[in-house]
Amino acid sequence: MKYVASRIAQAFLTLIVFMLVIFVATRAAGDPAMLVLPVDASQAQIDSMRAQIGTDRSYVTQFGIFLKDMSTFNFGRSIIAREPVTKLIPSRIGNSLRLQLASLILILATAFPLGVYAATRRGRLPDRVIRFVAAFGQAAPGFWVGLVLMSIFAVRLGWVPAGGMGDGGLSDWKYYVLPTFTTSLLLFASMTRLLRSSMLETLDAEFVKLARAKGVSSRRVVWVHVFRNALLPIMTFMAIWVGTAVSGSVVTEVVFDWPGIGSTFIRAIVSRDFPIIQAVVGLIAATVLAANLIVDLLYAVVDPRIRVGSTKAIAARSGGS
Amino acid sequence: MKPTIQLLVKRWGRLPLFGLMATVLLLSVAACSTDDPTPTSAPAATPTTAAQVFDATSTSLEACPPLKPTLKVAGYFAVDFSPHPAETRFNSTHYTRLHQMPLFGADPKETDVDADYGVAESWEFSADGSSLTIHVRDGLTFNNGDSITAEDVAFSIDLAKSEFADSQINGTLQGIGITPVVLDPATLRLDFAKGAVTFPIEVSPMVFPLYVTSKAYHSNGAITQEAFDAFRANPLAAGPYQVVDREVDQFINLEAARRDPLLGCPVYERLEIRNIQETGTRVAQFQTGQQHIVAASYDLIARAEDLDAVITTKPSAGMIGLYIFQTYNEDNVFNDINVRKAAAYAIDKELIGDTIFQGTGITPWGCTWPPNTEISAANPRYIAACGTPYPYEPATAQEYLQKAGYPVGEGPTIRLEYSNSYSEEADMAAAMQPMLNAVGFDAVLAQVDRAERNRRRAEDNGHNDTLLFFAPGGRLTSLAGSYSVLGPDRKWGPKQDADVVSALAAASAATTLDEYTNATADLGQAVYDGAHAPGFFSSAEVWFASKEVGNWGLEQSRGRGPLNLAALVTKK
Amino acid sequence: MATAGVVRTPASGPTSSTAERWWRWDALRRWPLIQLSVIGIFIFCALFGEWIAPNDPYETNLRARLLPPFWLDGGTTNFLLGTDTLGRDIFSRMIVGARASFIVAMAALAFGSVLGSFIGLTAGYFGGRVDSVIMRIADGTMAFPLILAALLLAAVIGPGMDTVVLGASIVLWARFARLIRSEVLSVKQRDYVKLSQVAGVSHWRAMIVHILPNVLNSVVVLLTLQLGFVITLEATLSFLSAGVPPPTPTWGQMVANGRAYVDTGWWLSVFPGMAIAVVVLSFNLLGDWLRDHLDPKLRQL
Repeated sequence: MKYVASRIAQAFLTLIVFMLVIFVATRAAGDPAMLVLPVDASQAQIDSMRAQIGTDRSYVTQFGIFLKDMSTFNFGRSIIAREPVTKLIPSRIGNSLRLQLASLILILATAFPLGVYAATRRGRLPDRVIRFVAAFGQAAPGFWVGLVLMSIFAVRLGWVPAGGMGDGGLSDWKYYVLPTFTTSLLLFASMTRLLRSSMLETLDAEFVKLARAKGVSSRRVVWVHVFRNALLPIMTFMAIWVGTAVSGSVVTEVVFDWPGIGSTFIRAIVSRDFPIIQAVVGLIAATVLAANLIVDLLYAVVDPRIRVGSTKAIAARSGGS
Repeated sequence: MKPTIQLLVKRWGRLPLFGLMATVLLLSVAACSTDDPTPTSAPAATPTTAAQVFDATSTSLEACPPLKPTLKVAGYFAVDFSPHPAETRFNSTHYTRLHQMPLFGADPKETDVDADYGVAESWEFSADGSSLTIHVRDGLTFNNGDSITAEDVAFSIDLAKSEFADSQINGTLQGIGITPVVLDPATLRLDFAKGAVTFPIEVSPMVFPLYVTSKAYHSNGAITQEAFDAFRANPLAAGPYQVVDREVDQFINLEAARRDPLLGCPVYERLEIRNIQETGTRVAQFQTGQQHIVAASYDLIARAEDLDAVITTKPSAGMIGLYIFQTYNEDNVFNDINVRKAAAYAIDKELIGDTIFQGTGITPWGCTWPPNTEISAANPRYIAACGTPYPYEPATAQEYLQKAGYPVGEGPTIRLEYSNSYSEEADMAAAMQPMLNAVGFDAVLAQVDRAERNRRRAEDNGHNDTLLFFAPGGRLTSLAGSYSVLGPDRKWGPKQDADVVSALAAASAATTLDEYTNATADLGQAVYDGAHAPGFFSSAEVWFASKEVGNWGLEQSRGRGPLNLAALVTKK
Repeated sequence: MATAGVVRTPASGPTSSTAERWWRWDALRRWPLIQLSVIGIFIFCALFGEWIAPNDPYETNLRARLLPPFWLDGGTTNFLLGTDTLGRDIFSRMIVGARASFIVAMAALAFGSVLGSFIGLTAGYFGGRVDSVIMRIADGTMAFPLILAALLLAAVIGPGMDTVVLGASIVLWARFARLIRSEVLSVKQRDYVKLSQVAGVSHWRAMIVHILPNVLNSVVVLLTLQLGFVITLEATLSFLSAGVPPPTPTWGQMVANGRAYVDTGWWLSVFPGMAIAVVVLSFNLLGDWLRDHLDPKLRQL
């Protein structure tokens, strides 16, 4: 219980520190008033805009207001859109999540069987091919792949639409095809490699050798014993994935005109719309920390070795992903 | 709690935990994916049977021919797609015009200010130019049936002046010190603190329109953030279309609402205007039929045939020339007129126009301010002053550098600054660099973002030794802007040049349009002679339209808005 | 099963006398030759690009813009892979562009690995509170999406090569730190380290002299694996206009510039994109091979 409490406290503290960093960073990036106003704005206009945005006060005051607002979930108004941030962001996050989820499903459906297969055929041709494809997926720049795919499958062949999300529902599944594939490519590679390597490690482990020696069938060994243990680093991977999911994929969303949080973020960056920047970054940080926290706690529950704090277990856990 | 989990784990393995995480994820997706569309705006006006004084025909859509289905437009619009008329910028003119009425109208093709298309039926300036009396047209209504009165006009001006309105319009209105005075329900007077003979043109759809909003509907005449929010959430239209859906930075959708007394019948059932940043994606969507009109690029002109596209160009959307700021700083190398002239003569503008701009939509121009919405373009003196760009003469450029005291081939180091607001900027900078270096400059490329550029503009010497070369530019004749663009109190005009300053003062104090355009002609001449802003040409914006849409006369448009959709989507 | 009476020499493998016979064909075959050659060419271009490029990569030639590769209609052998929107030779720019990618990758990795290793050493050696705080920070940094962090950084300090390097380092250090820390934790338990501590050797000395040499293998493997990642990151940042600004040619920038011409001027993006893919792939596969041969325990990477 003490462990749980201390972990939660740590996560919370990290979040506050993180928000301070973001606060400083967005302010240091330059005066958003100068960006919003036309070049021939008078000094009076500049002052009035600064008062509106709130940058006319000292940094300390601003941070105080900022913390107070954060704690009441008041993320302020977008400078460009003049609408409250809480109105602008939720649907975008939903859109990004949909794409990321579709991509996750695709990855799991392909990486799991392929990664496992590669591990069991280690060193031989299937393993090599799978590793090659995975590595290539990791290597090719995502936006390039996306544009090429759009040019071939949407424009030349006309099989799928060229970007956009439609209404995002199931009947608009065609809009999902290319963006999902592009997003998945990178993660597919790391997932396959991860799965393969963690399976390889457990395949070597003592208890598996013991099971084999006892005469348990190969298939059973693989799926029952090895796979379950290999899941541990996968869970860590999922915690990382959550961060990616919430942030959407900036590149895919820009290329495929997908109205998600990633493209919103980049527009906010370009226009120094720091209420949005802060909200998005804060949200991602909170999600990532929460996900890490959950995984940590689950590990502690699931794997008694962690709680005891054995070196080997810690090494195994932190060496993963 | 713990023992149960361990038991679970023992029996089923870690799979349930994994499944649990997946379920949590799915649930959070379901929870997060709310997309309530913004509530629809007020319902279309019910047909009136009483005769309208202006136009006897009803506002019912029944009086219109059958509507075509949806028209889809995609471009790269840096707007928030707000349905509130006081929150619009230049490039929202093309759709705001369709659901709001401008005070001073322009014809649907936006070739000129046209009293037939605005709330103001007629207007006259006082003798000293310090006030403008406006006569409101009788019988106009908002889409909810309420009449448009002088009260509404006065309120709309106050709205546009407020701090909640877009900064360009409120800055301008505050800069000229405008005060509306209602004389009777059909007449009002505008008092100006500073000269504003160009007011009706400036706030028309030609430049930056002032729209008329209902005072009663806008939270009973409230000018507060809440009132703005409320209107935005539930806007009231005054036009053939109404806003039904929008998302900041993404899209705005309009639907046919009524037969408008000014613009006539809507042609399409629905208009969808999208913001798509990536050119390749836009064009791809055009090819797949997902869009009917898209913003294209110059290099695509050669492919228009293949793409089954009709090329339409919007003239003078961009000004190409050298903008040289903060020349009053003595440590700015461009403080010396010889250095400025050397730069002006060094650029081979024909080559740039032929290659990067594919020779399309180019109009030679000598002063870097857009000639099209330039009110002074009616005055032949202005054309004489600004019509001819500096020629390409590298030898002359070298001479000027020597006159400035630099040894041959060892000219000053200068920055070529651009901010990628337009895709051609980077190419132009890279093309100009060797041209400048060839005559002896040491030109360095400096890509900055808009924030950085504005910051430098605000500093005392942020733009020393710097050339900017692509932008619509500050308008020579913007109302309060005449002084502010190149003004003495701003940090970036040639305020050391007495001719420029006196011409500006004369323009600001003009009481008639003639006085004004003569003063701006003088200003143009001073700018040209001093090589403060030597122009090269004005460029066009390239749009592709599908064959069924065709060309709706975009080349004739002199207005600032990029598309002038009114000519395409309405029919009187 | 040993056949009676026949003594067989053990089959040659990575752990046997390969070291002495590396130049023999059968041993050579075990080395990842293709990857090494690709990487060799990459490094050669990075170092000597300007001398071997057939044209000046910076020279603009507006009349010769958007020429296709030489085997297509309109192409010439002057410009083997065609020209870009300013008439610059794509092939020469690719060769010289290797340098920028190389420098960015090397700098980011040098920075990230040194910083990360040092932090990881500290965390692993001291353990306890220090360790747990550092690992929390490392976890947080690693899990935060890199692109967003790099974009934020570019917005704050402006785009440029230093921004890309800094941005990449910010995430890389965490990976190195975690790796080193776990290695240190296991090494720390060994006898000779404990002995040195008993003998009164200072902390720093113990760390650097005793522990570090043993973890170097892992560092090398991780370095190789992360190199490709950094190159791809640079490309993505250029696409988002937050990368290395012109006129320095980088592969990422070339791909990004060509994106509006995917149909018409496909050679602008395809060739640099392929270069990125091939080089990154080679580094990744080399890293795999190194890991398999140097330290099989590192499969988790």
